[in-house]
Amino acid sequence: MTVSPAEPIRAPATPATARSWTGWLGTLGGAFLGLVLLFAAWAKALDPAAFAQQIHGQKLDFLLPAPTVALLALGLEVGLGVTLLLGVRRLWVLVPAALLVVFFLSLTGRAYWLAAHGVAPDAAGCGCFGNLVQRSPAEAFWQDLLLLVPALALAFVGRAGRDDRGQRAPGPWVRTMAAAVLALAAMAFAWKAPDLPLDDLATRLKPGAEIKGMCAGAGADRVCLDTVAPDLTSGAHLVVLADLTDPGFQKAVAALNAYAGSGPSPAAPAVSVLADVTAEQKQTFFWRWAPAFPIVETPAAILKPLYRRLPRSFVTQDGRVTRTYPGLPPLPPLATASAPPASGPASRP
Amino acid sequence: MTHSPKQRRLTFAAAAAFLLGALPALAQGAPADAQKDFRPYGDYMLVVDGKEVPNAEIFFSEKAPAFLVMTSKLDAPVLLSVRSQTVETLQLMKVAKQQDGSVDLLPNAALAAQGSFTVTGEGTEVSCKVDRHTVLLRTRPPLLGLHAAGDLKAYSPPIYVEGGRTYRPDNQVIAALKRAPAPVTVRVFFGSWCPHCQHYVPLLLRVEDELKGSKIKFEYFGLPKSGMTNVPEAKKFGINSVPTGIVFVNGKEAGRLTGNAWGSPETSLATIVNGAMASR
Repeated sequence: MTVSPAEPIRAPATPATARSWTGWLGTLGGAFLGLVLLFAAWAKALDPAAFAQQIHGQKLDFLLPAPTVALLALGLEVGLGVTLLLGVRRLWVLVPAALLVVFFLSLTGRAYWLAAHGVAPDAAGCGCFGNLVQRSPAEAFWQDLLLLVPALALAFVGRAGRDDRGQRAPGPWVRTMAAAVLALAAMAFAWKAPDLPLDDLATRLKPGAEIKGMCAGAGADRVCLDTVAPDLTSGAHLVVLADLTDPGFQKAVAALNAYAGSGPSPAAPAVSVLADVTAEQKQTFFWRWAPAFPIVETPAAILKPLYRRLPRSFVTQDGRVTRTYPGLPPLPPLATASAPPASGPASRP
Repeated sequence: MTHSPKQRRLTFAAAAAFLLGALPALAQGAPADAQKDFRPYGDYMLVVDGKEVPNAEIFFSEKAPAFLVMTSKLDAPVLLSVRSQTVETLQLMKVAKQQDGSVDLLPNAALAAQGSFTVTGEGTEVSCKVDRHTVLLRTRPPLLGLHAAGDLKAYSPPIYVEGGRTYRPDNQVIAALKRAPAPVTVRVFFGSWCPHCQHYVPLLLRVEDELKGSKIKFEYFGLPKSGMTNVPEAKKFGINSVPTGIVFVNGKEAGRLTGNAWGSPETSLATIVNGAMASR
């Protein structure tokens, strides 16, 4: 076999195969990181108000209002997630992704440290996974560390270098544009999500959910709704999650009173209200609005994962949720409701 | 089928007699839902003409919603209706006590208007005039410091006696706890103002009643509503929520009753005690 002097000398086959193997591993790592980011973004996009509240709680809204920061963060997370999932591993993708991972770990790490030192309640996770995933600060930190860091490290492995002529491959413009479009779509979705009927999807309160499974805290400090409101574990109940200071809810007290006064029946289960209130707030509400239904003081850590917007209502049968309603439940109109007497026995002197 | 005039007269007489006998009962009738189910209420104490009346009976109906106050210091039971903000008195014989400790008002009770009541301090005091008397419902001051079960029961019988009456501790667990060989002390940190403590501490009081004569002793430490964690005793044991029960076996802390453990306090207590015994 003769070799023409004009023919270029080719590189041996083995290094090329190695580069290809590491390239695939890196792409896989990047895709996994992308999937994690997309799942986290989806969970938060369903309830952007809660995400904005967490941003405000972390004092990250010093430049822009928290809801704006929340939308921008979701757009960034989706954009990076899609880009990584589509196999783009340029430095302008990986560096922001690394910064995002460091940011998440700093939040979960801080919450973990505070909880471990008794500074913050144990149930207060950073909420990076929204309401869909219930994690203690320790779980949040270790899960984030184990899910994100190895995948990020792998994403840096076997990246495409320069070609044989020492030039970079052309930019992945189509994939980048696709990611940008999806990021904008995610922001639009998050913007409209509060008005969409997604409560069952976005929260832990959905038909089939158990009262005893609605919990907060970990270990010995774990508290569940069946401990806070033991009556809900048996029989049929209509439960309203409410903010007692909300004028909209206050206006509905008369209708709820009329409903409560009609007495429990299979068609009209006993009504109770769960609210994150102090004893004083409850007492003030009682004397001002004269509710004819029990108000159960429920820790915010248990309540918050159950709603996106208050009020929200649901029906339980023997400790299991059978139906949910956005807002107040459908109540009979006041004029036709069998209202109880305003007070006292009917016979008066 | 035909009846003789005599038979018809007898039938009529029997029917009339039945009706006459039944009339009082029919007139009295069954109370309407809103007037039923007044339950003993322990958050308020009664003050009449500036003097506390410790043995006054205060009931509350959630459905009405209304308070019923009964004491020998007043001429008649007093009904405070929250929705209409009115105060009325009624005849004692129109108050029907039920076996479960609740009270129903009979529907033909004549009510004498006494005016309206005034609420002050977010509901911590409700005052009104009844006949010549000044009547005050006042939130009980919190029970603070170290106490025995009897103190809690005397402080608010509706909460600490009635509250645990229907609780049935697990007999097998109680029997096992009675056999505990080492001295066990359960110190419960609670707030008499805390609704969850009001629900769960009475269950433990029932457990304590069942464990009389055993080596398990109970003590109750009341904490204030504000600055609870700054109380030296709470600081010493790192209490940041109530109710928290600390279980000491042979003088050493073996575990705590917190959160869901209160749902069945005797079972949680047995788990802690058994764990401590096994590790000895």
